[in-house]
Amino acid sequence: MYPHERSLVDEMKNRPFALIGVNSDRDLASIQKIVKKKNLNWRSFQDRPEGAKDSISSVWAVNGWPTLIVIDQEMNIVYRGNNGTAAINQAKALVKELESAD
Amino acid sequence: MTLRSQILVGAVWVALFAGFAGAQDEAGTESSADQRFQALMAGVETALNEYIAAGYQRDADWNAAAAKAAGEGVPPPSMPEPMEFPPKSLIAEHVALFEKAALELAGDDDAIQFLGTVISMGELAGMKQNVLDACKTLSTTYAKSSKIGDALITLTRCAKFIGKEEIDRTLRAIELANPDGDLQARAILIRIDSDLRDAPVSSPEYVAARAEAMRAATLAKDSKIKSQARQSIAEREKLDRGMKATDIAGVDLHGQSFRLSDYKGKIIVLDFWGDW
Repeated sequence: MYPHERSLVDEMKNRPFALIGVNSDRDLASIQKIVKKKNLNWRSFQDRPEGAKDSISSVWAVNGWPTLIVIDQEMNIVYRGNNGTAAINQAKALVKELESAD
Repeated sequence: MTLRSQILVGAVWVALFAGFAGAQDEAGTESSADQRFQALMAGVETALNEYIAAGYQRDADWNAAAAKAAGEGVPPPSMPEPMEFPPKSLIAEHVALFEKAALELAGDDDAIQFLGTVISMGELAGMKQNVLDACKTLSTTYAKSSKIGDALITLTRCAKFIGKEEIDRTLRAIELANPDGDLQARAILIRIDSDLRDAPVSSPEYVAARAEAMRAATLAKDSKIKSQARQSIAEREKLDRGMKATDIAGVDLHGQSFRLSDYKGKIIVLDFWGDW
């Protein structure tokens, strides 16, 4: 999955697109190491940083991992599910639409 | 299962029962029934601890025998059979004691805590008929009781064991009979919980559960139960397809604060991931 995501981010560079992670790993130090070692090039929220009352995944009622949510330019949710290809295709189509509207 | 993990399960399990007994404690005065309940619980704990200790001893004996055999250059004794956990017949003996107490207290609200334990312990020992009988007694004799709240939670824990239909039937009977709006609301919320949490927002199951949750919100007088009913709906609905995404204010993996809305105007793929 990582190479896939990494190349997506590269491909969409300088276009109206953002891949934002919500990372559920408990051990922050080890995940930072992985990010560095595998050169992960997208920004992630910590799902439940120390001292937080609720995890992001509980507020968003995420039960399955991974879950992908596609959000349009007006912050409307247009896809929610675990099909990576479907999510990315939809996001790419929306980016194209947005670019041609400009 | 290794003995070590069996013991771990055992410890968790004892804590579970202790928790149940604790909840009863807070409820109020120590009646003779409460004392009897505590005594029966203590009996379960002692019996389990003895069982676990015997397992440890058996393991230690085998280790010693194996070490001795290795020293003498002879083959080690055969490994003992894995210990049964949970020990069903041992639990069954104790379930019978709780059943006996419930029967002697029949008609008295104090019987409820004993029946709750018959359900939770009966599940562990695979005693389906006993669990079904206890459910039936709860939903008939005690459905009107104000003390049935704690038993509701116990019921949901064995939904997989005796089937969701049976649990739903019991919860509906309690909801219909009990005059307390808060208890009715709790019975509803427990019954619809899985549909509300897991069914897709557009599915008929979800739509039905949603209507029930709204009804629970109206029935409840307690503000906590009221808001629990509303909240479970609100959280799902604003975060599925066709809904507005709520903003996220959080910190990234380097501890720097940022918001989802920092990226408004772009197409965002929000990826819930972990390195497993």
